[in-house]
Amino acid sequence: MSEPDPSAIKVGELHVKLGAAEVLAGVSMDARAGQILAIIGPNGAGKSTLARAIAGLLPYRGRIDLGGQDAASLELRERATTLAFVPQRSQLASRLPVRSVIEQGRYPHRRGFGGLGDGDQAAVDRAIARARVEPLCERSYLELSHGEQRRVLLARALATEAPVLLLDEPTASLDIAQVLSLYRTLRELAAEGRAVVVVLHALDDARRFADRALLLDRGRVVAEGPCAEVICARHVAEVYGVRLLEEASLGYESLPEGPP
Amino acid sequence: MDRADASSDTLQAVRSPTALRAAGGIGRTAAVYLGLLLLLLTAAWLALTVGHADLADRSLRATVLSLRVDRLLAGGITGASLSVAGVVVQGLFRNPLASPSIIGTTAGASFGGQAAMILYQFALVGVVPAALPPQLFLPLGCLLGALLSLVILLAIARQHGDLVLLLLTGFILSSFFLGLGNFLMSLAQEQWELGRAMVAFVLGGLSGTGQLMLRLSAPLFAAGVLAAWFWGRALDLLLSGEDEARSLGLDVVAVRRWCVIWIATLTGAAVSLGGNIGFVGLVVPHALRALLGVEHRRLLPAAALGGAAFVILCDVAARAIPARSEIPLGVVTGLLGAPIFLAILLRTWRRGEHV
Repeated sequence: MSEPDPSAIKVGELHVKLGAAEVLAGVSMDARAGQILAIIGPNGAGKSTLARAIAGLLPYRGRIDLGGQDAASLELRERATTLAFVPQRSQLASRLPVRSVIEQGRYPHRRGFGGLGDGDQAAVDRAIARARVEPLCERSYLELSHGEQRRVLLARALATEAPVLLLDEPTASLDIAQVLSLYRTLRELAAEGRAVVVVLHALDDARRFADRALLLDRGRVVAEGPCAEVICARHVAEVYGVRLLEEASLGYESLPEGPP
Repeated sequence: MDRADASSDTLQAVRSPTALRAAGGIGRTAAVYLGLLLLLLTAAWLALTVGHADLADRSLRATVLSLRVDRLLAGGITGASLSVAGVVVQGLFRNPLASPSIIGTTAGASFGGQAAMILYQFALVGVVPAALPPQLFLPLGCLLGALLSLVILLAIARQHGDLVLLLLTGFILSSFFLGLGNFLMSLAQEQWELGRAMVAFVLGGLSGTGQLMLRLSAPLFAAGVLAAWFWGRALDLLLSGEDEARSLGLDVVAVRRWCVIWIATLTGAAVSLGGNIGFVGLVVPHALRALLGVEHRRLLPAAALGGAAFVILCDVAARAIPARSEIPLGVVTGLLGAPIFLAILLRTWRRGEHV
């Protein structure tokens, strides 16, 4: 079994300082192709900081490998075609046509000042189908609902065709139908061989939808592994100071006819 | 098999309205561009015919027309430069309320021009070869002044995209450079000719623009407009903010640096021709964005046409409004621009909308 290392993201001894505070103090983790990894932990644990550091938006000490290459050695465009990042809150608030927003995902593939080729248009079409935003394409981004905007931003990230997808709190302010639909999409993406990393607030979502979990607390890794092992009564008590009631969670699933 | 057909049908169905809509968009864009061209032609025709001199007088006709052509070109270049610079400023700061005059870039350029005049008169006369005309230093000074003002602004108000911080910093920079400019003006009064030249430059206006200044500013204008168009897609990405643009592979630092250079180039070209003229870069892009949308490559050429027409028309008005002497051009654009600026400010404030 001499398979190459399947790690899509490999982080070693990562330290990140924001101002004087050391927000990440030696975090190591890896995310594998074909799986959904949930990064969980209480507020202030450093989840978003970890995501932003991996996305190349923060200076760090330590090592981040993307697709087996040192992230620091990648050019911006190479990085953008290796890892697609959807932040928690987008700054986009413009009356851009939705399709133009999604076409921005092809920017890192462009050379020079030219337009989109057929290959680019095909990738955009695939991203549109995958994120289920066909009905939105003729509208302007600003007039969409929050949930629709999130889907358009997911489509833009998918248009990069990066093998690694990193989403920061993608379900924040989505309703349960939208949450289910999003995870169905993420599961399809993972099944295609992409690595999907999701920063999550809700532990029950992590248990239900992710394959593995990384539990952070105060800038350090508490546990990493299969969700059922990481999200256990002992860890939850230790990190959150909360008792886990296994039977108490409210379950839900999509109706057979799918989301409305 | 059925499934595949169904999905390709869906794709087809999805694509065709998009295509239709794109065609509609192109029709609309074409109509707007056609309208702008007609407006520009009308403005040009008015600029050649309106004025005190009588074109019926055959002995004067050629001279008057040639002067008016120069003035027309100067107005066109000034307006197009300021308007295009406005679009780039608004994209860079993700703010429809920013413009070269609002953020203090024209004041910086104006101060730079004054400094160049003073520097030439007191330090460079006799040092530089006499073959170099003194006017050469004016556009250069304007460009450097604009650049200086932009660099200070970016150092203070770069992050956050905070509207209040940006507008206040721009206001302070404007006051600062106008103050410095007034100081230079008082120095210049020691020499009568220099003093007069400086007053004329600061008040702004296209009446004294010679062919030499046109020839010096035109390349700056052309370079700035072309560059802005080439950087248009990068500016589209910046609408999502610096972090998102960066994670889509955009070298934000480089884009910012280049855009600052193009804004300074365009503002320098405009101010060296027309002096300190306000609100063009605000009003024209705002009106056109409502018609054409926010995509830069569609917006920028329209901004150039619209800006040119706007300033030429304002200049015609400055000549045509009865007054003891000609009303300065900056006064006309200000009278039109300030109320429009306030209207946009109120609306933006309520909606919290970006560019």
